[in-house]
Amino acid sequence: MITLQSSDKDVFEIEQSILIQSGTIKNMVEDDFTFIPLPSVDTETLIKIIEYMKKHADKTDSKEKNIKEFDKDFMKKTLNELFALVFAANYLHISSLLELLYPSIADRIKDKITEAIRQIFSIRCDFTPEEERRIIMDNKWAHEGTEIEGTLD
Amino acid sequence: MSNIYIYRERAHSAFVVAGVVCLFTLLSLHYIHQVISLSLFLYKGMRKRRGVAYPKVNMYIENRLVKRAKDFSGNGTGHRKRSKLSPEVTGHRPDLFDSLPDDLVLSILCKLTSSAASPTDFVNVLITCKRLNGLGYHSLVLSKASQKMLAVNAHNWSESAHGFLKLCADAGNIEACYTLGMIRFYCLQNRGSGASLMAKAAISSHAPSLYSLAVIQFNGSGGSKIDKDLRAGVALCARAAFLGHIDALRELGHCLQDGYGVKQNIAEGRRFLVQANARELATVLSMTPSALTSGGWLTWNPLPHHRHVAGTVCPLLSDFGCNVPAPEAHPANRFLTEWFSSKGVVPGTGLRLCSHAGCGRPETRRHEFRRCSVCGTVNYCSRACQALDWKMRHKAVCTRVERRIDEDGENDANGEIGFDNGDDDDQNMMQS
Repeated sequence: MITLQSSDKDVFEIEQSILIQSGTIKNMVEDDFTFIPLPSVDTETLIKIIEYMKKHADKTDSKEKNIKEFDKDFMKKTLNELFALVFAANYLHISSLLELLYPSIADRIKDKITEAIRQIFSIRCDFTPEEERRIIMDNKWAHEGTEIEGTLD
Repeated sequence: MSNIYIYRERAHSAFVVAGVVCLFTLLSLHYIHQVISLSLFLYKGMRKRRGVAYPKVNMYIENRLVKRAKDFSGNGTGHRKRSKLSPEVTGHRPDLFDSLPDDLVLSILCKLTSSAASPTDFVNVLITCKRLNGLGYHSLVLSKASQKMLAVNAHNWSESAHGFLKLCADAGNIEACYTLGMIRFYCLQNRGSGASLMAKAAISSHAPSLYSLAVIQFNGSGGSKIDKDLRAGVALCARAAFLGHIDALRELGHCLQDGYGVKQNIAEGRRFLVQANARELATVLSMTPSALTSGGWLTWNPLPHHRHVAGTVCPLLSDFGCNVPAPEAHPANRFLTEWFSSKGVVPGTGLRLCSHAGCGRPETRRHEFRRCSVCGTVNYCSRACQALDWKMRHKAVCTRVERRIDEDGENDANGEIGFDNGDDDDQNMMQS
């Protein structure tokens, strides 16, 4: 059993067989660590990651459909949670989770006008109006006659 | 057309470099991370272990989680120990992307470009802010751009569109190389550059590029009649065919049946023709499951004037009683069709377009294409286009006319004017 400690000092005891899905943890376990502090992962995110790893730990054929269903539901989270998961999964080297997260986030960017993307992701536009106008003109070819939203006020 | 081979070497080394770079970046995100992190503001004093060195960033995440507690009153969710709020949070919610280092944002953008359904999906991100603009133009992101993302509309063609395609091609995007190559070769009349771009894509085993180069070789496009190289055309066609390209399979089948550029082998040729049909059916079935559920797939529904519509029926399979939608045309062909038809650019005095609607290729010199030997009113860049157009449209309207004295047509090796007409194809396919 390996003990993980989140940045909020909450501890979790998990079997080693589940945790080796994380490359980082696997390396530490091979170096004979049993207590692993994770200062860059907070408790909420860690709970979700452990849930993910538990589900993906035993991959028998019969469970593949369940795993797919689980993955689909797992991605139905707020953007903040998804981004926190990306950061944590990157730190923990869980590539299968990352491969799930990237398309989910990309899907939320697709099919949206620029202003919508800015609002959803809380992006602050740091272009000057002239720069913005120039960029929009440069990329006019992509807009195929659809109206470019009124960001030129 | 020997300049194609000269460009091969240059393209080959470019390919090797691109391949190596892609290999590195695909194998390990560490590589990108170390390259990019040198110049960025968040990574001072970074240790080797990623993730451990972003204490500032963690604070942003936690405070954001605090703010996003279920009650949106925004008042203290006092169970968090840390109370320091960064100045950004108090005034304006921090950018979600700020919490991620560049290599992760790049990965997200890569997924975005590889699954984008149109250019707008991606371009809208470029307009959002400076950081995303900068990262969006990263070569890794551009190299993953999907075919649909590069589907420039001919009416919107401009220097910036050209520049964008060039950026993608330089980043190693094969589809961009092919699309830009076709546009430069046929629309912008820049034969050398167009051919070399297509060669670059062909070297990476891009089937449409191989097939397009084969057509160029068969016709001696961009040069004169003596520049035709039938054997080179067959070789390129064969490579494309072995990759499963349907038009190339058909073309190769016809070449074998006619002994055109290759030793005649009628049985082998017929095998390829049948394989082309089978692949077309398989492609359509795997890509459009809705075609199976809609009632229309067992009934003949000829809409010859509707180009590129998903409901258009695949013509050759109608011989076998299967009417499935024809596969969608490549954006490059769509561009050519729009450029010369709806945009109305004239390819040149007396130069004609391939009469197959989905092709869009123009002649590059007079009488380059061959005509239908029955009516002489339509002409095609290749046998594959002729076969498709025969079934889709021309069979219904082709009527024998008085043969004109040859001042117009080019002769085949065996002295006949134009292609065989479609009737022979009919018999060949029915007998299999």
